[in-house]
Formats: sequence, C-alpha cells, structure tokens
Amino acid sequence: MTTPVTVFRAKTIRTMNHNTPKATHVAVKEGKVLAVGTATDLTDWMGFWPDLTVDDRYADSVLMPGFVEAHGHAMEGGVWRDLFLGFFQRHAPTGELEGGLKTIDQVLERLAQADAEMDDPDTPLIAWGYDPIYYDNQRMTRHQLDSVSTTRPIVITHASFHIMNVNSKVLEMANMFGETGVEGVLKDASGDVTGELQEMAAMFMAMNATGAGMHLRETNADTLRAFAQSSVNAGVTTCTDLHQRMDDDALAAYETVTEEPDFQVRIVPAFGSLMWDVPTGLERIKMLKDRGNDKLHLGLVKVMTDGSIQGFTARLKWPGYHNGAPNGIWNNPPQQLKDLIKAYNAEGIQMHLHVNGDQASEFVLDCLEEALNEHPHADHRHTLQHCQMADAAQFRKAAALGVCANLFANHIYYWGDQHYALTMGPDRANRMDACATALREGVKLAIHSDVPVTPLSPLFTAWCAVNRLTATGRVLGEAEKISVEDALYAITLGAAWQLKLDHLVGSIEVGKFADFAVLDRDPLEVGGEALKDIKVLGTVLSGQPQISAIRGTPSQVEPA
Amino acid sequence: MSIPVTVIGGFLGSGKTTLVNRILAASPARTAVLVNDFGEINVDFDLVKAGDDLTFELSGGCICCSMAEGVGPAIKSALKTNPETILIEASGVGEPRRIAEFALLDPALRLDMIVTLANATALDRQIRDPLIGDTVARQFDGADLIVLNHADAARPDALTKAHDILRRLAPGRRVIETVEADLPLDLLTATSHAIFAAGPLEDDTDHGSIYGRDRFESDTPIPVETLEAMLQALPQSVLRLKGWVLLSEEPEVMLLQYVAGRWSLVPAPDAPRLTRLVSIASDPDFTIAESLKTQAFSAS
Repeated sequence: MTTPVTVFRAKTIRTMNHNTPKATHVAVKEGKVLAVGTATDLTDWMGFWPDLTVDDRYADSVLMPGFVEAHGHAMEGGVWRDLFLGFFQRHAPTGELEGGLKTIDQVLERLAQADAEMDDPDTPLIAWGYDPIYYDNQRMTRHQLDSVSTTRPIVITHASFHIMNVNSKVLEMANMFGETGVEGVLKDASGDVTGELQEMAAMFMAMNATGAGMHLRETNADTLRAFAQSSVNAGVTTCTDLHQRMDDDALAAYETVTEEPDFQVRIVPAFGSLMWDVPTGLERIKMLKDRGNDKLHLGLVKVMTDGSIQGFTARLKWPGYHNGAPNGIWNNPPQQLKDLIKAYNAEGIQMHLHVNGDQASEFVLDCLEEALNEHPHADHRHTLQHCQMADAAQFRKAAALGVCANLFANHIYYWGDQHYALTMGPDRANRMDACATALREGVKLAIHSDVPVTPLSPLFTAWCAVNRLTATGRVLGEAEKISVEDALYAITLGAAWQLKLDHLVGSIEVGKFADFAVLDRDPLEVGGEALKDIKVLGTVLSGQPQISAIRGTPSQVEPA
Repeated sequence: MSIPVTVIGGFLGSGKTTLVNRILAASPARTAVLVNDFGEINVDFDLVKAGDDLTFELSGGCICCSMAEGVGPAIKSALKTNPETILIEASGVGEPRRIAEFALLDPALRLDMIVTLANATALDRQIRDPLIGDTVARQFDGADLIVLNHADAARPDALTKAHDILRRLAPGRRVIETVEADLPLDLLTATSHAIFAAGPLEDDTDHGSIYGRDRFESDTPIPVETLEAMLQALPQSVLRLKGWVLLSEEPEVMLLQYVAGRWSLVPAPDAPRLTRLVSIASDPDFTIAESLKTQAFSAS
C-alpha cells in the first residue's frame, strides 16, 4: 500500500536551501517534502513514483518555506472580539480591514458605528489598540465618549495596556466620581474626572464594574483557531505563543486543536516561567517537554524582565529616556530573575528572555554568562527577545555566549518616529533593532511582530529590516539595513533555529514538513522596497493547501 | 462594614514575610492573605500560617497585560470568603501605593495601612545600585509607616545614613526602627477589638519603652472643628488613633480611624454614646487629652 505523491508546480520556488535554491516543482508525500526540482526532474520522478499527481493550483504563484513567526501571541485570536481602534490599518483573522483611524474624531465615529450595530443597549463596548502617541498625545475625555453613549459602558484599552479611557457610565458604575484619593483616576485642572484611568487598580475596577470579562489572556480552542487563520493570512506555518501560562486548561485547548486534522498552523507556546514558582515551573516544563505532536511543540520557556520602550517601562542604561521619563520597571527583582535563569539553565531548558531596554539586555547577558559558566549547556539557543537597544558590545557578548537575538523590526515603522523624538533620541533610535550589527557580530538572528502588538506579517517585518523606514518616512539608521536575502533567512531558518525546529521547518528540502507560503510574486525579484506589497495567497501545511481570508491589498502601510 | 486592607511592601530581604507572619499571628481568624508566591523555593508561601482557603497567590505575568492575573482577581476571590481583614504582601518590586488603590476604589474595602519595610543594612547600597535603586525608592511612595528593619545588624553610621535616605525619599513619613520587624501588634491589626473595651490598657511590655499608649474617654461632645484640627496637628509620633467620637454637630456616634496622618470618620450606630479613643504613638509621653485641649484652645 503506497501513499499518494503530490507534486506542486509553481512559477518559482525559493527553497532557502543553498543546494537547490530555486525550483519550480516540489513533490510531497505523507505531509513531507519528497523531492525538489524542475520540469526536467518531474520526468524522473514519474518513473520513481508512477502514481504521482501534479497539482497546478500554484502554477502562477511563488512558493517559499512557510514563514516562522518566532515571537507572537495567540491572544491575537481573542482580541478581535473587541473593537480595534488603531491608528494603522490591520486585518482581523477573518480578513476584514480595521483601524486606520487618523484623528480622535474618526475614533469616535468608529465607536458610534459599533454602538449602533449592537442590539443590547447595556452590553459594554470594549475596544483596544487606541494609541494617543499618534495624536500628539491629545487626551480623550469621558465627555467625548459620552457623545457616543451615556447609557452603554465604553471601555478603551490603550495600545500600551497601561491606560484606559472610559465614559461617564463606567465611572458611575465603578464609583469613580468624587474623592477617591486614587492617582490612577485622572482629573483635569478644574478637578473634573476625565475618564482616563491609569494603572492596574483603576483599570481593573472599571472592567470589573462593567462586567466585561478579562478575556484578553484566555486561550481556548476558538482563539487558537482564529490565530491559525491569522497565520495563514500572513504566510506563516509555524507560529509562537510566546508567553503562555500553560495550565491544564490551556494545554487541553492546545492538544485539542492541534490534533484536529484541519488545524492550520504549527504552534510553539512558550511557558511563562514567572507565573509559577521555580520548582513547580521546572516540574511542569519537564512534563510538557514530553508532550506535543507534529503541530504542537512544547518545551520553550519565556522569561519576562522589563516592560516596553514606548510605554516607558523598559529598563534603560544611562542616559535613560530621551525625554527624561523615569526608568522603567522590572517584572521581578533582578536577583530573583538571575536565580530563575540559573535554575532553568541548569536543567538544560532553553529560555526566551524578554529584554526591551539595554539595561535589561545587559543584565540578562550577565546572568546567562554566570549560568552557563556554572552549568554548561551545549546548544542552549537561549534567545534575547526584542533586544531593541542592544549595542555592538552586547551583540558581541551574545555571540560569544551563543545567545541568539530575535529583534523587533516592526518597531522601526510603528514607533520609530517616537523613539527618535521621545524615548531613545537620535543616536540610539538609529541603531535600534540593529539587525546588521547582530549579523556582523555573528549572532543568530530572527525578526518578529509580537502580534497582536503589531500585525502578523513576516514579509512586512522583513521589509522593515531591509528599509528601516518609519511611518513618516524617515530612514532610521542606514547602517543597520540588511539585505533581502538576510531578511528572508531571518523569517524562515533564522527563526526556526531559535525554536529548535530548523531540522523540521524553515526551508524546502527533503524530509522536512511540506510547509509553504504561497505568494503572488517572488521576494527576490520585486526588490526590497516592495516586500510589503507582495500578496500572501495562503499557505500549505503538511502538504494541505490553506487559503488566506484577506481579499484585496496586502499592505500594512497605507499610501501617504 | 468595609473590610480593612493592610499592604506590606519592601524589597527582597527587608523582612516582609516576617512581618506578614507577625500580623497574621495577631489577626482575626478570618484574615485573607494575598502573597506573592514567586521566589526561591516558595519560602513566602510556606511561612504564611493562614489556612489554605484564605491564602491567595499573586502570580506574576507580563507587566504589559497582566490585568487578568495579579491583585484584582486575587482580591475578588478573597472577598468571596467573607474575610474580616485582608493582608496583601507586595512582590519585591511591587509598588505598595498602587496595590493600595484597589482598597481605595472598592467600596467593599477600606485601606487601613501601607507599611513599607527597608533593610537598614542594605538601603544605602540598594539606592545607589543602578539596577534597582529607583525600584526600591518608589516603594516608599504613599507608605503610612516605614519600618527600618534589621536595625540591630546595621552599623551606627549605616543607620544614620538610612534615616537620611528615607528623609530624602519620603519626607514627613513615620519611620520606626525594628529588629526582626517586631512592631506592636495593636498597631498592625486593623480590627483589634480589645481596644474598644473599657478598663486599663494592655501593654505588651517588650515595646513599653519605645511606644506609648493612651486612652481618652469623655461624654462631652467635641466640635468637629476641634477634632479635625487635632488630627491635622497630631505629631509624627502618633501612628494609630481610633475609637468612637461624640461630635457636637452629629447625632450619631462616629467611628474614627486614624493611621499615620490619614483618617476616616464613619457613623457607628451600635456604639455607646461616648467618646472613647485609644492611641499608639512612638512617643511614650503622648496624650490624647493634651492634644485635644491644645486644639480646643487654638480653635476657639
């Protein structure tokens, strides 16, 4: 009994395998690549595998290895239950284009439209992705939101996740008028409560009062399926969920969906180590390492250290924030983080370490040096995540320790102007997410979106690393641009390496999973400027074609 | 009646867990305790003596989006157990003031006290450390009481330096030196019923020389103006003042809760018709009567 062989014929196949870099035909059997070649090879293949069928659906398309997003969050599959109020357009998993709201008035119009579409007058209207940094930090007030509704609770979480805007109805429900003595309930100069809520207490109490669930972090089968569709839309066949509590419920959801034959992506959750005490966490990660399947790869560990640069919560070295903001916050006392890093390293567990500011990346490199000296750990592939402010010296040290870097290239476009003007100032902004330095110093590199922080789209991320253009068109650090070839490597094999999956995915070669991204044009022919304009038609996962839900233009970047 | 909340903050090694245990030992049986469970071999969690059903873990998460975890949900779970008091131990990097905001916003809760501990032997070094200096400093924001712990282990110059630092970081705050976070329990427990009983004051003799307790009783109503003037003028040494007050302007007896400069007055319908106040101060000579008399004269 033989299993069938399918040959996908494409206009061009870019394999990322230097032995056969370019091809037109790929033979697939049992979900794996059986052979890669051209029309000439096909004649031979027909002799070897007489029952093969040729699938011509990609005859006018270009195939690449399915992209690997080495830093994303499955939360993307859940956030779209709420209204997106972003300054930039982006696609929901179902393909609708949302956001692109260029003024606060447009934000209010979008809210009014959503309000009108809701049947039950009491259901809270919950929104996310609002970022006042793009509106000259103009502040939204409860009075503006009251123009949308005085009866329906309205809660808007900012893109930073540290601030909310609510209408008067919410303030009433949460007893926030009057003298609360709480700094997080903001008042204007005349003493009027503005509806802007800061920090966890005020935000939690507002959400709680409206009865709206805290479902952002929830992982269930539905959110994972939606996340998988987002991945297909972006040409991604291996995606991470890089901070996951991985309790029994989450594990069950993961196992359920990945065992479904039509689940559309390979997924790699990283266990949130700070959510468990160290002994329990170690026990749990060891249990997880023994589980999983072809589409579920467990065993990665995430360590959070600092916050975000645009939220002014990242930990910076001297001279600190360009605008003089106080230094950011540690997730845990540094000594505790060091103990944890040492404990996980000693058990031979790979860590992905969130380090945004340069004080955090320096500290973690020091911790890893100590940890690796005490407990040598061959092929550890510990990876600095974001690592946006590391300078050449830090990259040299990373290379010397065998530590990888997954840089947040999308930041250059989305917040580059703000980094230049407010957070880092010109010098450090010009070398932020220093892909060229990392490669020059010999650091294994990947680049990422941190979806849903920015949209999932590895080709766009590659475009950012190649062109380094901000939203207003400034080139941020000519010297840190990388080539299209290097950028494509970073979103395929480079990312696969950091997930310890480069033997399974990341290139189209015999024995690897038949995971492809289906594109309308060849990234190596269109030129670096056009990478973001290539349309992703879908993916192939283990030989199974998947179709993008996005119709029309693929571009994240709107015409100026 | 709203449930009193005590928040304990301080950097690693300042003695938070010791203090939490002291408070728990003296607290009512139904004290819910929220502890930060993360750390070395679960030390904090093991030492906490409350029953399992009243202990809630504050698990860590991503600071960017940890709303679904952390203090809010833990308080929500704690409230379901009908606790008499709630004790929250902030994490080593937690800002007690921010945690206390939950108690200020939730009508079911009342903020009793924010206590931040400092390690007398390490404070100077910590404050100068670029990795943690600002984090340690922020923990004193909003503290009602700063406990300079491990005072016995600190050299005299280190102790002086620690006081200087605290004066700079938290001007006007009450600072008390301790060894092993040993504080008078009636200072720490929000619901010490003994305080309302008639009869002589029980003094736990260990602290007798440092702390003074006083009781004041009267059935003559006090003008609210005099009371508020007195509260505003209370010396730094007064840490807690509580009890019933008969006010000239109010038909109902009021319950006064004063902690280190903050106070609340709420009706106490079941209280006897008299003024009965009890104080604890870090000055053995402080008396309520004297303080009231001074204000009565200056108010008139």
